[in-house]
Amino acid sequence: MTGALHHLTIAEASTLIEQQELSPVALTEAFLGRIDAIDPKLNAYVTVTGERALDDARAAEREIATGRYKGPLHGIPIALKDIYDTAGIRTTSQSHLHADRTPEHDSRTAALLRAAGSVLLGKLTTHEFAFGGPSWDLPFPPARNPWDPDCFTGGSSSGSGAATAAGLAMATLGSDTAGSIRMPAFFCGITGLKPTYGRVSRRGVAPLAYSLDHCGPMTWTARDAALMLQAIAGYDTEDPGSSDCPVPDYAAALTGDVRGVKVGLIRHFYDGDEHADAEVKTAMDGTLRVLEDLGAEVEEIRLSSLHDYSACCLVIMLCEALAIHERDLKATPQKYGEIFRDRLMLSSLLTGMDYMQAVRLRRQLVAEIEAVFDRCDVLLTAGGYAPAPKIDQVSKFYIMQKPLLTAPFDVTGSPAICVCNGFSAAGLPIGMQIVGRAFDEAAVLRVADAYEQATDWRERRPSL
Amino acid sequence: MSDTPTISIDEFKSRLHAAGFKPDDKSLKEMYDALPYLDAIRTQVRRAYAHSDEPAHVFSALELKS
Repeated sequence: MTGALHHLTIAEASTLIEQQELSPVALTEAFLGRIDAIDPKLNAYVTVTGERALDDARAAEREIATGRYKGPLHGIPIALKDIYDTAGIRTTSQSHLHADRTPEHDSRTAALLRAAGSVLLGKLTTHEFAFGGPSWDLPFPPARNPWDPDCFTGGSSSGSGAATAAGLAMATLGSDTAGSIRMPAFFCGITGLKPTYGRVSRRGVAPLAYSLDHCGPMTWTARDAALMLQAIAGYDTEDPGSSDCPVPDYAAALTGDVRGVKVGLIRHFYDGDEHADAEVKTAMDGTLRVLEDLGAEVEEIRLSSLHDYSACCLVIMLCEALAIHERDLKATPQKYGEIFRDRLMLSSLLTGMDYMQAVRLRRQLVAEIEAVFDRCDVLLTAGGYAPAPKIDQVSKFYIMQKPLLTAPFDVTGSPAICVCNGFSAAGLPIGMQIVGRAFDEAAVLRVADAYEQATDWRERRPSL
Repeated sequence: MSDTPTISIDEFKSRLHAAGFKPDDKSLKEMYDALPYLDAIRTQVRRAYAHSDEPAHVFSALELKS
């Protein structure tokens, strides 16, 4: 079994661990060995916490052996984007500004995952402060795509995408302000869930834009995303954006049955307002056939232009990010990477009027989405325009050059998952987004899981 | 979207300086070339709102009671 341990899903491994047929220590050793062997090609990790991981694994093994099984994350090896504070473990945000920063406390989510019995393998590469990248002038190199190390992982949760796809962690956490969970999920062929704004605490996670930041899981399957979300969802009085909303049993929602589910297809986002590659459009057409075969009812819907949503997101994000970093950017600009610095310096030309107009537009766009959910259970659109580009061809200002397909659902705060729905002729993954009503992650996960069960994309892994 | 910036590079540099930033020449040129993208997104968020339209951010004094 050892050879395949790193490709087990959480659902598979947790069953074996609970039955004491799989040792958390053996599982953790397998992952640490794979990180040693593979990560130098991918740069997914900035810090590997080998001793901590083995301590966690031994504790899990003892607890399970003495009848204290905590649940499906007990003994499961995970890793965190390096913007999540971890007590006593360096947390850098991939920036020279925080290169020596070691927090005293865990972020809320790190604490919850620890309490659930998970095993912390380490901290993962990110774009600088979840914004500037891919960059070569930071303390650590950018992550590489496991499907082709010459290609971009997407960002900003770049190491989270690479590690999950390569079997260097069974699950990871990322963050999403304009698409930073879902873009790496698209490019790396994994499942990335951005929960509803306020569903998961952001306490102890480096902010990029207060009103847009979301924390969420990045996993191989939708079922694993459900298991991770179950552990980290919930109200936190110390996160001002947190919502006191009941947390359902997400795994129970994964019935595989989507008969009668009303799916609103937002085709004009990727075939109208902008134009995705033919391979992405073909994959979307194939997805519609699969969902209809499963009994879902697909209706094409029309929203405001993708350009409206993306511009709204960017103006808010850039203004809020500059407000956070203004003092350090002026006092010690040399401590930031060039991409981060130049994007935010340029953004200093935005005004208070621009920000206010974007916030007013945001209210209209949120109302528009809410109205659509009167007749749809979930929405569907592409996750990106094309497979991963070469990493050295990514433009410094790419986030402004073409509207981001992921940005609309940061603007509206809606739960959105990116799921692999095919591969290009070159063997690179592509994906789609499934979007739900506020706080209805269960519906999003149900449709994503049913789609994954009905297709064989989850059987394909990168060869490393 | 216009491909050319609507202000000169000297004006652009002055505005950055006024905001407290002094980029090197390479960064200045690259940011200046990207200025049309920024102008496009700021134009995109403008709507013909009436004066009486409520803003999205509303201050609620009741929240201060807690």
